Amino acid sequence: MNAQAITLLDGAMGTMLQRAGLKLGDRPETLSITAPDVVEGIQRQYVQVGAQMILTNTFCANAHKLAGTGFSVEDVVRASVAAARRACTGTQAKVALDVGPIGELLEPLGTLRFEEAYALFAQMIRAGVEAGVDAVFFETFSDLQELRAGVLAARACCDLPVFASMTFEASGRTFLGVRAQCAAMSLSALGVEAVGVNCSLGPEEVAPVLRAMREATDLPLILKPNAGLPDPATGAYAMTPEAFAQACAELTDVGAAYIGGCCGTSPAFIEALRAALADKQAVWPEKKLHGICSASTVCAFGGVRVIGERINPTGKKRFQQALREGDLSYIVAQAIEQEEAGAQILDVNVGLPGIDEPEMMRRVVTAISGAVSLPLQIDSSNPEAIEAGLRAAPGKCLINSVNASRASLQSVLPLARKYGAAIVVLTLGESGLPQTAEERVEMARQIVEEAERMGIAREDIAIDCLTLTVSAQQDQAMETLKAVRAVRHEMGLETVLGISNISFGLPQRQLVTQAFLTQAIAAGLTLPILNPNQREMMDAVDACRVLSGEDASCTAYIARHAPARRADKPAQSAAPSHLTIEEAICKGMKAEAGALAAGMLCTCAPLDLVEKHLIPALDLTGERYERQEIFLPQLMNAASAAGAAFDAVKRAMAKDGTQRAGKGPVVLATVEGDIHDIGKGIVCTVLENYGFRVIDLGRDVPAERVVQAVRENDAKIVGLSVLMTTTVPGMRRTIELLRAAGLDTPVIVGGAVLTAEYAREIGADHYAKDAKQAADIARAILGEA
Amino acid sequence: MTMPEIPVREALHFLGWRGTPVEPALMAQIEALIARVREQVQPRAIMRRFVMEDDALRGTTFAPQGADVRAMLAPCGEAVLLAATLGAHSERMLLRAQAQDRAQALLLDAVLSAAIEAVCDREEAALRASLTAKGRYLTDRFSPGYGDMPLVQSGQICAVLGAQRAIGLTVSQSGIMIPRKSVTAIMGICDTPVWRRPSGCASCGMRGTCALACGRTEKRG
Repeated sequence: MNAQAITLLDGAMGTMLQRAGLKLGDRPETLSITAPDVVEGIQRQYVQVGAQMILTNTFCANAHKLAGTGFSVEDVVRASVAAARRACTGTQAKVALDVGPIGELLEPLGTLRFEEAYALFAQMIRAGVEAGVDAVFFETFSDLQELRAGVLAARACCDLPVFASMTFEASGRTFLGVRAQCAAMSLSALGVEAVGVNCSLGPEEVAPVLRAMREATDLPLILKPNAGLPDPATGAYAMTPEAFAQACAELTDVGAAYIGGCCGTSPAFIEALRAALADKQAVWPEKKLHGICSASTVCAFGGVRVIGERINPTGKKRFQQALREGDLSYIVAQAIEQEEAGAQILDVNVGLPGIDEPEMMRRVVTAISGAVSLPLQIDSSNPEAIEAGLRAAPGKCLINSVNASRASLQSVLPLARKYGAAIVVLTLGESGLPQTAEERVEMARQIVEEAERMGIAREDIAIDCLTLTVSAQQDQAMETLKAVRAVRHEMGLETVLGISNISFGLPQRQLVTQAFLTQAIAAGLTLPILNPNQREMMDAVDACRVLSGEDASCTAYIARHAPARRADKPAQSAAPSHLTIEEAICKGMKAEAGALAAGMLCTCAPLDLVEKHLIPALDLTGERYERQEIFLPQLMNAASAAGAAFDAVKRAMAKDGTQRAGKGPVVLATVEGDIHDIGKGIVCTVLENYGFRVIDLGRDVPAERVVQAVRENDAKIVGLSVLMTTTVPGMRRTIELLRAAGLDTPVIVGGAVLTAEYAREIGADHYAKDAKQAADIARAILGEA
Repeated sequence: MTMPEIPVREALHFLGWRGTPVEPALMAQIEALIARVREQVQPRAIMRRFVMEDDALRGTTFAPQGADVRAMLAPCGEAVLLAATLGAHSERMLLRAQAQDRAQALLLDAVLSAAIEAVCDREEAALRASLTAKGRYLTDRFSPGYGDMPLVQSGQICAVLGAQRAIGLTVSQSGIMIPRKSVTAIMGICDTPVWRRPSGCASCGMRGTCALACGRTEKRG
């Protein structure tokens, strides 16, 4: 059991300022300058009733929120700290710099960059340190990634204690879907003083959230709830100070050690808390969970946890192309596919000669975290890329990997420490891979010792005893398994193995791979790295979990493998014989169009199929759309069906070695500041069908990146999209920058608020009202149609 | 807060449907998405009533701008601010769909647009009913971007309502509400029957550039 004396915090500031006449919509922080006595007076009341640490009136004193007020961050912070200090005069009370959310959503859901958020927080914190605060207190966050930016900035700017509190709904999640356990695990990893909950709900409703946090951290907890739930009609809080204090006091045995109030509380509440907590101390048991997490999913170590290996360019042409073109959609789709196949952790490796690996790691990790809820394993041999990944991932990651070489230990272990990441340790030294199990285990011991000396927890270390190709070094398979057994059962550590490598060079590889996987799990492998899309592998994992007892009562196995549920892949669907490929496309019948194309390719040359059947079908659909005989989803479904036929064509061409030269290329982007990309996606699909090579840069794309992509790919056409009047300036800026860079590439623009006239005004060459027209213009530019 | 019924017709409207035949497979796709959205998406809304005072809302920094909205509110003694959002999960659904299947993303986008409208309609209807019972009247729901009411007022409404803290709705530096599927609006409360603007297009700032086939489904009653 852990124990700690309780620190009494203050109550609401906003509520009190509103009572003093603050208008809704005003920036309360500026009152520290315009009405410092009011602020100081409120804080003095809190100190007088016993608050031992009060928060400065700086919740939203960041440069974005203060813009237009006429006050600088430094002015507001200085005045706020001074007011708080005056309020504490003659007491032992401490002053903590209050830091709330910036007010904008970070990437990938929003447009605020992580590093920009970091800089905004750093500015506030530097000002606070300068003004002499005793601690930094982050509160009311619902985005874990934003809070991580703040905590990292605080850790970089000062050595003061850092407190990190989030706001949750009764579901135990924040508005952004962050789970309490994930918040506790991730923030503890960053080395904060305490984690916890503020605002949200009343103390009774907060209790389960605090208990969930308790499972994933050994730190003391923060408890700053509202004064119950507000009346929906009046917004008033109904709880009495005594009931509030009583409910809070009950949470000291969950480890609530920093206790105060949020919305609706007043000095009376803090006074009641002091009475209720008088003879209490915070006590709590050790945490139950260890492992890694994303913002919404904990992957607890202990049983077999599958690491998906598909986000890796090695030996994958299509993936390499996606990386070179910055096609994040393709990579995100790979992540989703693995999540759906049952992976519990995703390995992310974007190392490819000629690309900026740290920047690509940042972008890929950010994009994946928006669409997939799994924790990540950051896989690189480049420490800068590892750090970029660790910053971008909202949660606690695994690092793949560190080895016994000095260089590796010295560059990677400090990163693991700084970001609180878990590590995969390769039993590989300066002189290569030891041949015997005993030597590998000995090497593991040495690295673990070194890591623990650096302050990395033993539970955060996983050992990779390395899989060698059995057809080349047959004796090594058994050595690897022996080493795994020793690491797991003698050292008690998590074990990692890349499975697929075992069968390289052999026929029917999956037989050998699957057998190795089951033997390795039996030996003590807990973190297999494999391709979860291979059903045999996931089936083997399911079966092993049954045999080890991890899958209690075989529940998960039965759920997945009972005859009624087991959805075997349907046989190649045969299209009805009376259907033509043109009809299949026009009706948007994807499977049928693919099957018909495959059949026709037995007798028809690929290019003939394209020119005589697919393009005419697309033209026909386009004309019907223009005549308003069909509407947009039908055009899109037809395009998807044509896409299935084109896939068959590509396969046939790959087989006979010919290539359909892509026209263009066309660079597409939704401009900076705008995140609306549905329309741009439609244009992309339609252009691809007409044989264009499309480089889709995604959404919220800085002008500089458009210029770079046009240059690097010698693009023939640029397509820019925008939806809002407020983001059109981003489009104008992109066109200006293209021209300033000396690029006269024709620019087609489109989007809901644009008109042909407006398009001309911002310097675009063409305006397209819809995807069909964009394709027509693109074809005309290249002298077709 | 639960998700109300999402009318298929409304989703079709957002897809630019003009009454041409829709094959059953497409209809089934849309209906499946509606079911998924109703199961997975949790809408949130906040409404607050204020006394009108000199063309502004008392106790706030908010004064509606634009001749259209001011004309609507002129006879009103009180005004109600509304902010509603489908939340971060709707954004994640869109991100996933956009990476996997753009045709599906298009349909999902329309279903979510119909969903946020349905949420606002329900909030408005409940308020209207409670006012009617007291013999009072509610104007239309007027959003920044309609008529000549500037879009930047969305951010101001969010600030007055504390929308980020209350429902997780934020406004980006470029003035976009995120999550995308969000609405802010103002309504007036009157003691006498109020003029209600014709549905949809005539008073809409998007008229002239809008690609939707308007003549939106009438929801008057």
